[in-house]
Amino acid sequence: MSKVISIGILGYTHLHVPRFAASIADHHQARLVGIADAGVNVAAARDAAEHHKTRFFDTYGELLDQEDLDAVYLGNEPVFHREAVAMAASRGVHVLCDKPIATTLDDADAIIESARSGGIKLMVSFFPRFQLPLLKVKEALDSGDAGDLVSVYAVKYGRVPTKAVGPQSADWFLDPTLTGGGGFLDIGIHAMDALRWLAGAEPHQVHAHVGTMINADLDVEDFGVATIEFDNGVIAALTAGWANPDGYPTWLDVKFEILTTKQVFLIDKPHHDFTLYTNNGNERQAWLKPDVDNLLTAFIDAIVTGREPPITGQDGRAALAMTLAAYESSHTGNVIDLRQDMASLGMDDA
Amino acid sequence: MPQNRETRIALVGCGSIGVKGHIPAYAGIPNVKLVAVCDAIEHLADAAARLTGTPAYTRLDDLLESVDVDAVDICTPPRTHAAVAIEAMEAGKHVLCEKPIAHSLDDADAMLMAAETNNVRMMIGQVRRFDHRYVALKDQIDAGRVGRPVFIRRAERQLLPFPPDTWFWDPKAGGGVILDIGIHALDLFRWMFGQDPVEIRAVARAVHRSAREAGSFDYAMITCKFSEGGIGFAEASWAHPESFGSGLYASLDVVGTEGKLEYSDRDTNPMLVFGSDTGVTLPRYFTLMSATEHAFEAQIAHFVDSVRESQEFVVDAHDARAALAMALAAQQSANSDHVVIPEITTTGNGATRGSSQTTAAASLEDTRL
Repeated sequence: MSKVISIGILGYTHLHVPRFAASIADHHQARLVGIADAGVNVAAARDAAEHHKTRFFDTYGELLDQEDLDAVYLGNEPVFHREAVAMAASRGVHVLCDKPIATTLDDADAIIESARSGGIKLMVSFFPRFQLPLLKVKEALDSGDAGDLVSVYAVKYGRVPTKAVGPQSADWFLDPTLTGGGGFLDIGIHAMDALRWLAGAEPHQVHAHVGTMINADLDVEDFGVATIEFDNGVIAALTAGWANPDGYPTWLDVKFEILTTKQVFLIDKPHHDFTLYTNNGNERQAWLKPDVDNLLTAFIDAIVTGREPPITGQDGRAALAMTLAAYESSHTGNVIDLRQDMASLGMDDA
Repeated sequence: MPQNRETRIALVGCGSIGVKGHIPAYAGIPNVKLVAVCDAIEHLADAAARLTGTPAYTRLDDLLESVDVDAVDICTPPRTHAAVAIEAMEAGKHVLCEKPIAHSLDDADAMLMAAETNNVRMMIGQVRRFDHRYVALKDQIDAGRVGRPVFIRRAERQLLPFPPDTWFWDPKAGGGVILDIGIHALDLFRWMFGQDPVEIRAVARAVHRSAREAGSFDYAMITCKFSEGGIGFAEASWAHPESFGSGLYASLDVVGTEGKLEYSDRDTNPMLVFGSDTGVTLPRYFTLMSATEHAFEAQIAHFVDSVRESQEFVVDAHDARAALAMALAAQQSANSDHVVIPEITTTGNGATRGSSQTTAAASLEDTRL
């Protein structure tokens, strides 16, 4: 396909935005139309627009009203996703929405509905789906080469986002009214989606302990452990949060340990990294660019071909429902039955 | 017993753990002598007798009548632990007994009572507490190196193709992967946190036919919450490929308020072999038994020394009872959709004092959906 898709950026809040901006600007099938932001990181947004030689807009509406705009990447605070998707969808502009899709299932439903009624493509950003080791496992599971999936144990650890060095403020990550949750949600939801994707089934029951366990000063949770049972018998567990001390060699610690009836897959840091040794200490750096590039390519393909994106609004909603069920389990001490939440999502029709 | 002579021990139960785990360990321990072996299955007793150069018995009462022993090392199936241990203790013998302490809390309590009544010492082989790797990790935690520990993740994974009809598959007899393997992780959690468990959830699978036919599990994920907020998460598996047990068998990570500990057998297995026919293999530099044999030796030596010197065991029999209560709660949770409160009635050396008086019946009623 040689068609070039014009993509704008709505919101420069999330720490992922600079990576998406660079990826859009570099992509051979994409053109970065502009950046619209009036949020906490507006100064960084203006600098980024200048750096990428693209236009800066003070309001989402001005960018969305650009005639040549096909799509937007949405990088504002999750609590504002609903309104932003509605604005884009009403103008027929496709949306690549950073995770979580929303902070409540009501908002997620509204987002899915506005995408449907606007006739736009809605894709949610979950990186594990574009990481090569996990794609290989998924292929082995789908082809039957690996036998039947028995269990998956996933680890998703990072540091408190405010420790990130850069022009953007990450303070908003610690405000539950903007994010819907803390470290377990922020970093764990990628793996929630991956567990459901690998299981190839809907979650049935969730049990979890989630809380502010490591850094008592935070207003949001920083750690959680959840077990999930899927309706095809696959069992899974996720431990996620801002658990890495400053001295950990990498920002991220990501693991997937997968047992099938024939094989075991041990995946450590599926994004890969390399080590820089210097006289002033050592630094492990991650190769995160391929994840973003491949995710963007999949979004562009969906727009060009008219097919459903590989990660839909329903997928985003399901991962959110699993995470919210983990909160509820932790709050009540009960095992949470998720079947009703999943049914209301209309998965049976899909 | 007199301090100036060897402690004389009879091994009862000449199955795999007795013959492969305990018997080789005796050779390296001073002041102790294996003086007789006993197994209800005659050919097993005879084989162990040939291996050790000791007389073989098929009945414990015959053995105790004929041989002068100070202590009995019990490696029989869990459902026979109470009968064997109580018989030995009533004869005035000290007891070292394999884990789990028993297959039921009633049996465990009867054993604890018999030790008290007969004024003898009883230690249960919670062998991970004698494994230098976990002792070192515990030392790091106790020294505050990770701050306050908030989460411990433990995995013990292997393939153990037990014959389909053995007790190993039967949870009612003390078998199944939760009671046999999960119990190690649960004991490690309680020991490392120094807290008692308050709530357990387990989800489990029966992957192999033997597990399905026994109504048992060979793969489990167990989450245990402790009294001061510590969370333990364990994976216990007999469903992993055989090669896994050679070098990747176990791992243990600790997340604390000020640091993180990571342990994996993978990191202690320094060899990879590349072959044109075989691909990449981890050599059996590190077989399952070789990974634990020093722990068996340390465990038996500790038992002998503590009995000889009249000192407390580092792992009290009440700790072993608590580990069983946790494993039974996990088994019960795995069979249901519920969280289960373990029946911890007394505490040993491994957790803080102060007990929750939950009964088995209460734990069922308190189970919240």
